[in-house]
Amino acid sequence: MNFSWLKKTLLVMKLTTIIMLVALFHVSAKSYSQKINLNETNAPLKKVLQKIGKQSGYVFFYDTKEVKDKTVTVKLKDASVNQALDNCLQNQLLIYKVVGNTIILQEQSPANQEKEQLKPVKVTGKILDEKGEPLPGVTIKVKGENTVTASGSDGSFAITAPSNNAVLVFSFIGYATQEVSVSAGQTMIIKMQPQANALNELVVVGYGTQKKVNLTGAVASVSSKDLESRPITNLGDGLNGLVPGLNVNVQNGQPGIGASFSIRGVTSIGANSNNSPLVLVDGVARDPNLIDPYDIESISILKDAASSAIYGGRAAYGVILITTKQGKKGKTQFNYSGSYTTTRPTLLPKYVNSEQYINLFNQAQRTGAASGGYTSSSPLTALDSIKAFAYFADPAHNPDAYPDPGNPNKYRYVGNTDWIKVLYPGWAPQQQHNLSLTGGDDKTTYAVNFGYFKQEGLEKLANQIYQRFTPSLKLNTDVTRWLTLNLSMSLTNTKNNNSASSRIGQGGPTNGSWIPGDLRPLQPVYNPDGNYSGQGSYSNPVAIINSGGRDINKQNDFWTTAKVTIKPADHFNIVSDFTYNALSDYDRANLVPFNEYGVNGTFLDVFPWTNPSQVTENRLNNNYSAFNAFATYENTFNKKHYLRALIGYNQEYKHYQTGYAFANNLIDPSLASIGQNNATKPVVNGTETEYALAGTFYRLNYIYDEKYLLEFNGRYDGTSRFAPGSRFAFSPSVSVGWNIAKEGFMSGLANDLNELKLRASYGVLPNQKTTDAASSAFQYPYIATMPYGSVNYLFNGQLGQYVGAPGLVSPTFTWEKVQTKNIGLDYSLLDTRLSGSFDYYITDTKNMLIGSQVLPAVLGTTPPVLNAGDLRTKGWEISLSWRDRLFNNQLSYNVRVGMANYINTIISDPNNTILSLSSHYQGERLGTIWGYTTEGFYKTNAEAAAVNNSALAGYTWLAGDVKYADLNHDGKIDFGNNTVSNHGDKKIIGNSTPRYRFNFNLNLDYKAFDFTAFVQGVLKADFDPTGSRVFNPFPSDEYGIPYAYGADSWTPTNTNAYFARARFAGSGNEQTQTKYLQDAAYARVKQLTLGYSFQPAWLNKVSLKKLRVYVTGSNLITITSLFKGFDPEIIQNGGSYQTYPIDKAVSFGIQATL
Amino acid sequence: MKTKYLIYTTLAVIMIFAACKKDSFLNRTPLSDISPQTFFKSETDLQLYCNQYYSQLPVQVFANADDQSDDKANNSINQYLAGTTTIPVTGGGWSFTFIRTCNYFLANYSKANLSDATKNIYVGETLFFRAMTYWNLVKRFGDVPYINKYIVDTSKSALYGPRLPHKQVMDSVFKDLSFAVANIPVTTPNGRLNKYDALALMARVCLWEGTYRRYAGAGDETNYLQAASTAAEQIMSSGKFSLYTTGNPKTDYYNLFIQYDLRSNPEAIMCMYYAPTVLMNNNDRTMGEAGDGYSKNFVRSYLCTDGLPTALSPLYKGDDSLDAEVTNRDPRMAQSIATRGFDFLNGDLITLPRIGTSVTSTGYQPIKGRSSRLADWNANASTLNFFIFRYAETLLIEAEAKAELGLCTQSVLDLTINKLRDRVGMPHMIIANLVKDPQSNFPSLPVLIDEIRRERRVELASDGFRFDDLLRWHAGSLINNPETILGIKLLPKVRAEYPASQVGSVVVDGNYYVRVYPSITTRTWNDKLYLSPIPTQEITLNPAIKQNPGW
Repeated sequence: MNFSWLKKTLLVMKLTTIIMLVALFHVSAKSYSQKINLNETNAPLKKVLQKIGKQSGYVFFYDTKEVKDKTVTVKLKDASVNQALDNCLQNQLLIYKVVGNTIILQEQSPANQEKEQLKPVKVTGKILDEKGEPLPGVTIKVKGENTVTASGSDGSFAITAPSNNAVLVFSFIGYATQEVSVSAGQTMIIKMQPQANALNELVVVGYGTQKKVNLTGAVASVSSKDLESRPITNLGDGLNGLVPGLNVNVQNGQPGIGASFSIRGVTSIGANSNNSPLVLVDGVARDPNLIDPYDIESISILKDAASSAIYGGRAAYGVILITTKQGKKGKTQFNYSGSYTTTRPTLLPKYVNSEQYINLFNQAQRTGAASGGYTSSSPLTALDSIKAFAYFADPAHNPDAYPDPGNPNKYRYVGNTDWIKVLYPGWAPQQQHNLSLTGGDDKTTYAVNFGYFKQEGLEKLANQIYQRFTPSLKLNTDVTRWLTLNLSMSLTNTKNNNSASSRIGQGGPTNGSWIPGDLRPLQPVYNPDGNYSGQGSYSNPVAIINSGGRDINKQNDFWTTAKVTIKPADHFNIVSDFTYNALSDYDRANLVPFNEYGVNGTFLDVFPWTNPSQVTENRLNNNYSAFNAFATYENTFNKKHYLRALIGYNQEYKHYQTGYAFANNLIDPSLASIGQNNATKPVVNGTETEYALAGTFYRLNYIYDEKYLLEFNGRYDGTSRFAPGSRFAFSPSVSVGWNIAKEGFMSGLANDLNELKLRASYGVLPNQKTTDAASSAFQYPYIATMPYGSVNYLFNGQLGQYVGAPGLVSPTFTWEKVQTKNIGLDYSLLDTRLSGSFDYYITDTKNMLIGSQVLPAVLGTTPPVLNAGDLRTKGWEISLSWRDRLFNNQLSYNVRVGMANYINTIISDPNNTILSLSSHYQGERLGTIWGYTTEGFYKTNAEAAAVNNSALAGYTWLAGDVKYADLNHDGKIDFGNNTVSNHGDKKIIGNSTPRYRFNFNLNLDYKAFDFTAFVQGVLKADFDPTGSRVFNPFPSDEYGIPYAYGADSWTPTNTNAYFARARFAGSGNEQTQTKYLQDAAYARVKQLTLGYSFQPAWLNKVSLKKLRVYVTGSNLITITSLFKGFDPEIIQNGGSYQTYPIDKAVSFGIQATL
Repeated sequence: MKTKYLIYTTLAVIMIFAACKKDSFLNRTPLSDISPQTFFKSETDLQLYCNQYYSQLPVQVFANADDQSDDKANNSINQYLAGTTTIPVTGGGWSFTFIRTCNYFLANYSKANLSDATKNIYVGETLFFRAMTYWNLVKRFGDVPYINKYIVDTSKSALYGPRLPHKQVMDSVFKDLSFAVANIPVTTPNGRLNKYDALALMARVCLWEGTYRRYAGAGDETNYLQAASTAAEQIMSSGKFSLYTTGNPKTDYYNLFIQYDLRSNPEAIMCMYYAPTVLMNNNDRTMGEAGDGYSKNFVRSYLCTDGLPTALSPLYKGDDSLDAEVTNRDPRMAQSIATRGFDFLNGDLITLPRIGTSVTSTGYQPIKGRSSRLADWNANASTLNFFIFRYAETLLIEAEAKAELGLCTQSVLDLTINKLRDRVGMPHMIIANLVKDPQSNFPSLPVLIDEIRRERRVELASDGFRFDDLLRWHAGSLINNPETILGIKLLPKVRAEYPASQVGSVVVDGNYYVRVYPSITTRTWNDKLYLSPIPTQEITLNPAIKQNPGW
C-alpha cells in the first residue's frame, strides 16, 4: 500500500495545528494592551467605557440604569486601565472592581462607604427549620474567618463578626447552606430550607458534567462522603456493595492485592475477553487499585451503552469515572486523617490433628487396599500410630519424634502440631495517614496530597510488609479570562516485602494455600535436638520462611496530565489534554540454601528446594500516553431550547516491556545480588509489545423546556488489536428522557413530587479489551506468532532452543459487540425525603470471540477463536433512599437500600454443535451446576457392588461410598456422553450466579455523633465445593492434609457421618452432587462506624476547623448457612477454602482540619 | 470575528483528526515475537524448529518403569491393569498436537533457500518423530485417523475422517522411517539424530509391528520382521557400537547405568545427556522412594550360572531368603536388585530388603540406574545419563527377528545373545542344548523364541519395554499369574529379624510370599486392555470414530 497520501494529510494536520496555536497567541497578545488613550468631553459614560473595554480587552459589567445619563470629560495618554477608570469614575458615585478579566461597576452605597470601618459586632439570632421549629446544631461560621459556633437546643446562636460587612454561613446536614449578611443590632431569624434534593447536583459524565435531573442514561454516583468516613485499604474495599449493579470482586485479603470490578454482570464468555469496566481517573485510564482512595472526590458509574458509548471500544462493559480532589479557592486548608487498624481473617482453616490424621490416613489406606484403589506407597507404621497417640494424649511425657528403625539417621515424626497456630498466631496491624493541603486565590488553586499506607501480613513469621506512598500535586490557573491551565502529577509507590517461600511452591498464602500441601500435623516445628524439623521429604515452612530468602516487589506508577481549557467565546469551550504514565515494577526473589539435620544433629542434606542459591528478577516497564481534544458548545435558545454539542478526538498508545533474569550459584548465597554468580547458564528473557487506539466521538443534547430530554452519543474507534481490514468500529447510542414532574398537569403535586423522570436508552458498543498484559497473544490477537523456548535436551552441552508452530487464528477475527437497551425511572417525593431509581436492561453480547469451539483432537491445536456466540444478560437494579429528622430535628437519619439482579443466557454458540456440557452451550444459563442426586451412602458392600459406577471411578465401590440416584434408570451411574441431550444421571442442581445482591446503609447524626451501618449480601446463590479439599480429605493422592471437618467421615461405626468413607483419590465420591451443594446466600455487616465530631466551641480554643474521631468495625458479623469452611464473599469471586480470606478489622481513626 | 475564526479552526482541526484513518498509528506488529512470514529462511531456522522434537525422545528412565506389566508390583497398584481405568471425556492420550507440529514443518520448510540434501536432513528428523508418534498412537489405540497435512481450515472434512486401519498407518510409519534412514547423515553435530538412531527406531518399530501382526493374526508380518533384522544388522555392521565392558562381569552391567557421560560409551547409540546446573534429573531419589519392586515372577526368570532355569538347575538354592535366592544366579540379578551389602545411600548398606517402607514394595528393590552418591539423591540434582537407544536392544531385536523368521542360527546367537552373556560371565546360549523351562511363561512357544524372550526380559529389565512386548506377543494374560504381584518370601524367622513396627502390616500368602495387594490374590486380564479407550467426546463429535472393543 502507498501511504504517501496519509503522510501528506498528517503534515497538513500538523501545520494546521501550529497555525491555529500561533493565531491564538497572537490574539491573546493583543488583548492585553494596557495602554489606554482617551480624549473625551462630556461624552456618555457608556461610550467611554466601551472605548476602554475595546482598548484594554476587559469586559464591563454594570447595571445600565446606573450608567445612564452620566457623562464624563477625560484626557489620557498611555494610561493604565486603573488610571483610566479612576479618572472616569471620580464624582460619579460609582466604584469598580476587577474580577478576572471583568470589571464590575457598582453604585457607591452608604454600606459600601462604611466598608473601611472594621469594627467587631456581636450578632445574635435564631434558626428555624422549614416548619418553623427551632433547629439546633446548625454550624454558623463567619465567611473567610475561623470563627465558628453552633445553634443551641432552642435554635438560638450568638457570634462575634469582625465587621458589619461580614457574611455568616449557616450549614447543617440535609439543609441547604445559606449565606446571610450580618445585620447588626437586630436578632437574625434564619429559616433553613431542606436541601433542594440532589437534582441540581452535577454528575460527572464522559467528557463533561451533567445535571442529575437531565441524565438520560443509567448513571450512578458516589461522593467522597461514602468513602471518607472509615479507613479503606483500596478503592474496591470502599465501593464494595455501595452501588447496585457495580460488582466488586475482592480476590482475597492478601496485603497488596487489589479488587476487580464488573458492572451489571454483563459479560463475555470470549477467550481472553476482558469484561471489566473502563476505569478513568480524571479522564485517563488507570488501575483503580493504585489510587489513594482518600484522594477521590466523586465516582460516576456509567452502566448503559448510552452513557458509555462516548468511550467506544474499551467501554463495552461500562465505565467508572473517578474524579480526584482539586484545589479550592479560599484560605489554605490543611487536613490530616489517620487510622490504625488491626485485622484478622474472617475465618482460618482448621486442619486435622495428629490423631484424626492417622485415623483418616489409615482408613483411606485400608479402603484403597480393599477396593483396588489408590494406596499409599509409604504407609504409616504401627509404631508411628502408637507413638503418635501417646504424644497426643500426653505431650509432656512422650516424644514427638523417634529415630527411624529403617534408617537410624532420620526421625519419624509423631507430634501434633497446629501449623495454622504456628504460622498465623494473631492479629496483623495496618495504618494509614493522609495529609492534604488545598487552597488558592481567584485565579490559581492548588491541592497537595500525601498518603501513606502500611499493612502487615497475617503469616507472622514471614514478616510480610506492604507499603504504599501516594503523593500528588494539582495546579489550576486561569491565565486569562479565556485560558485555563491545569497540571496534575501523582505517584504511587508500593513495596511488598515477603518471604520467598511461595516462590518455590512451598506454601505461604501467595500461592493460594495456607500451609504446604503435605505438611502433616505429625511433624513438630523442631527436632528433639533443636534443629528445624523436616528431612527432605517434608518441608518445614518455618525453616523456609526464616532461612530461605525474600521476595521483594517494588512498583512506581507515575502519572502526569497537562490540560488546556480555552473559552474562545461565550458558549464555547475547548479542552485539550495530554497524559503520560510510566509504570515500573521490579520484583526480586532470592533463595538461600540451608542445611537439614537428622537424629542428634547428623547432617543429612542441604534443603533441596532452595538449593542452589539463586536470584530471579522480574522487571516491567510500561509507558502510556493519551491525548484528548474536544470542543463543546452549550446554549439555551428562547429560554426553552437547551442545546449542547460536543465533538472530540482521543488517541492512546501503550508500550510494554518486561524483563526476566535468573542466575544461580551465587558467590555469597545470602547476598541477593544477581551479578555475583557462578551460574553456568543464567537465564534472560524479555518481551516487548504495544497497542494503539484512536477514536472520534460526539455527543448531542437537546432539552425542551426541561421536560423532554434527548441525547445522542457515539464514537468511531480504531484499534491496533485487529487486522487493518477489520479494525474500525462505530458505537452509536441514543437516549431519551421525560421529566413528568415538570409537566403542567402535574403542578398540583408539585409539593409532594419533586422528580419523576422516565428514561430509555439504546446503544451498541464494540469491545477491544483483552487481558492487559505484555504478551503478543493479548496485544496482537489476530497475528499467530511462533512460540519459542528451550527444550530439555542438551545440544552440545547446552539446552536446545526452539521455535514452535503458531496457533490458529480465524481470518475473520474482529470486534465483539455489546448492545444494551435500558429503561429507567428516577423519582423524588415528599420534599425529597424519599428518592430512588429503577432500571431494567437487556444486554446482548454479540459475536463474542469464543475459543470454546469443540473440534476433534486430530486438529492438534487449540481451535481458533471465532466471532461466534451471543449472550444475553437481563437484569434490574433498584435503589431507594429515605431521609428525615426526628426528635426535634436533633437526630437526622438516612436509610438507603439497593438491590440488583441479573441472569445471563447463551443465546447461541455455534462452536458447540454437540451441546457438550464441558463447554458453553446454547441455552445455557451461566453458572449452571450439573450434578448427581445423592441418595446417601451405600449401606453394605453388596449394595455398592450391585450398582455399575465404573464411569465415575473404576475401583470397587464399598459401603460408605456415595450412592447416586440412577435418574435415567439405565442400571448404571454415568454422565452419558456429557451433552445436553444425553447427560446420563446428571441434572441441573443449582446455579452459582449470585442473585439479588443487596446493600443496606444507615446513617445517623445526633448532635456531635455520627453512626454508619452498612450491610451487604446476596439472597440466592449455589456453591459447588467439589474440588475443594474440605470435602475430600485426600483428593488426588496420599499427600494432602485433610481439614478438620473431614474427620466426620464414614466408618462402619460412624455411618451417619457427613462425608463418605475416606479414600485416596476417591473420585467417585467427589462428583458434583446435591448433598454437598451449598447455599451461598449471605448477609455481611461490612461496616459499623461510630464517630464523634468535636464542637465548634472547643475547636476554636485549639484553632481547629474540624476534628472527628471514630471507631470502625469491618466484616465483624456474617450471616450465612454456608458450610463453615468457606467465606461467602471469597467463593463468590472464585476463591476457595484455601484462599487467603478477607479480613475482619477494627480501626481507630482521626480526621482533623486546620 | 476572531472568535469565529478560532472556533472554526478548532472544529476544522478536530474534523481533520476525525477524518484521518490513522493506519500508521494503529499498525502495530509483534516487537519481540517471531512471525511465521519471516521464519524458515535458513538452516538455523530449520534446526531451531526441529529442536522441539527432541523433548519427545523415548528416554529410558528407570523410575517406575514397567510398573504396568508382569515385571513389577508397585505399592500403588497399576490402575490400568487393575481394570479401574474409566473412559475419559477428552484427553486420555488421544493427542495429535505433535503430529501437527511435524505437519507444520512439512508444509513450510521448502521456503528455505537450501539444497535438497540439507533440507532433507530436517525432513528426515521430522518424519522420524512423526513416525514414532503414530507408532505410539497405534500401539495405544489401534486404528487411528491419519493426518499428514497441516490443517488450516477448521471447517474441512479432514477433521472428521474415519480411523485408518492399523496396518495402513504402520505402512506410512515405515515409509516415514525409511525416508529418515535414507536422509539423516551418518555423523551429525551436537547430539542431533544420526542415521543409526533412525535405524534403531526402525528396528524397534518393525520388530514390534512384525510380531504384533504375527501374534494378533493380522498377517503380512514377514516384511516387517525382515526390515527389523536388516536395520539391526546395519547398526551391527557399522562397527561403531559394542557392549560396554571393563572385564568385570559382577559390576559392568550395574555400572553401565550409572554413567555421567554416555556420549562416548560404545553401547549408546543415542543417550540422554545431563550436565550439572544446566539440565539435571531427579531419578535417583525418585527410585529410592518409589515403593517399587520386581515381582516374584520376574525374579524367577533369572537363570542360574549354569545357564539353566531355577526349576532345572542343581545350583538353585531356593528362595527362603534373598541371600539364598541370589546365590548362583545370573550376575545381572545382583546388579538389578538390591541385595545384602548394596549401598543404599552414602554408606547406608542394605542388610534386609527394606519392605514395609517406601523403599520397596516386594523386597526386590530395583537398583538399575540408581547410584549411592548423596549428590545424586539431591532434588533435581543428578546428572546420571539415560539411554535412548542401547546397542544391547539392537542385538536382542536381531535375535528375535531372526528367530521369528526361522533364520536364527547359532552364529546369529553368538553375535547377539551370547555377546550379552559374555559381558556378565554367563554361559552361552547353545541352540542344540536348549531345554524347555517347565515354569515357562510361554509353554507353547518353541524353546528358542522362549529363551530369547527371557533374555530380553532380563537384559532390558526396567527399560520400559515390557508392556509393549506383552501387547505385540498378545500375552496380556501373563498378568493373571499370581506370582506377578508377589514379593520375596518372608518366613517367620526372617520377619523376626525386622523391627516389628516396620513389617507389622506386611501381608504374606500361604507360602510366606509377600502379598503387595492384600485385597486381591490375582489380577485378571481383559482383552479390551490391548487397546485404550477413545475419549467419548471424539466419538460424539465424529460419528465415523467408533469405540474400541470392550470399552
